[in-house]
Amino acid sequence: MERNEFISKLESVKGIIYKVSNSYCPDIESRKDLAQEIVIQLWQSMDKYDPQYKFSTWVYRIALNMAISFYRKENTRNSRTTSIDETLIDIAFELESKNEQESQLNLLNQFIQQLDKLNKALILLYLDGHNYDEIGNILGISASNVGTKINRIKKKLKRQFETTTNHGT
Amino acid sequence: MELEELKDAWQKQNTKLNESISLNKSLLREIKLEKAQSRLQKLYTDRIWRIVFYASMMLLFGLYIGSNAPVPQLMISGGVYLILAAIGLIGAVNQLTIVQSIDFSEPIPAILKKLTLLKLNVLRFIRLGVWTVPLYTASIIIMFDLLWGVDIYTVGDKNWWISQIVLSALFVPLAFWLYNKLSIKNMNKEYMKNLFNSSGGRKITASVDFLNEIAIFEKEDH
Repeated sequence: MERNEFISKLESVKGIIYKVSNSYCPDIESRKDLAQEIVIQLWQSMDKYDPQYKFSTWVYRIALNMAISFYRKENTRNSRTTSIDETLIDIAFELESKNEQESQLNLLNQFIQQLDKLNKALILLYLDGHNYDEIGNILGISASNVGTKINRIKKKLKRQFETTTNHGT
Repeated sequence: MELEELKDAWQKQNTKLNESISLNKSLLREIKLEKAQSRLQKLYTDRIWRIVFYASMMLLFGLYIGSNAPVPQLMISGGVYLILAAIGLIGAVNQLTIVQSIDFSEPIPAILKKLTLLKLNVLRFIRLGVWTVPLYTASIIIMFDLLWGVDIYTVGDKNWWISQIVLSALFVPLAFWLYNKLSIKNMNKEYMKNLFNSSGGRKITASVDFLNEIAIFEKEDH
């Protein structure tokens, strides 16, 4: 595949790379590293991509595998990638909590950060609109197992929301 | 607030996010993607170097044995390290096989298991290292020969040798005990955690814990 073709394919999945890096890395430098590693791995795996599967699903698998396999909370920054000062993925502006719903989304983000690596992947895929079969395919578990786990996470999140709301009042 | 309600809001936020984030295309064109070492390549390169190292050691000790024939003590000592190098080589080849089977587009638990098994495979071969303790006499013989050209077995004091043999013999049950104790099955025991809570050991316990986490995740919940 040509580099320009690869870059235009990346354009369609930049959000996935951004979200995964943000969800799994606590600091900006780790996010830069992870984003770069995901891009490198995607480039090196492109010849194995089977077009019968959705490109975004394939990218999610690789991105989550990289994030879960190599990035741990206790990692101190030890860049294994080429040293770059610029970021591969820039955000024009941070989404601010302008209303109650966005505040709750921030709370949701915080709760997601507290989940273990595998459940974090599961809930990210669910929130992004993947169905249970797709999620199960990426995570290597059955669709019914996905459903059970999501229900469990929903209950846990609901309890945490209620606790936070009660403490706030 | 129910997660279902937030899901819609999340997806709307995704749309806004996609509009606000941009790829640094000029940087993407600059990065030497073809030459960039991915994590997987680093694992692969590392195993290749280990294979080269152990194969070289086997060659060197093979030459040592050949050049010291038919002096039995030198040949046996060289033979001990030839075998240890062979064990290291087998370990490195096993690990390379695991690395070559890794494809990051596979389902996540499959990849995590392979990576964790890779680490545990390394540790398994390190465990074999306890057997070098009772064999330390071989290293003394080789060291004296290579550094000073002295066959310490021939010139050494008889009583000293007897004490070395006794010490080596005492190390055998110790090595055997250690080898059995340093088992992944015993990882949850307190003494193992204390023993392994050194810089290398934390990775072992983290690997085992992670395998357990994957197993729990994959288990069908009802």
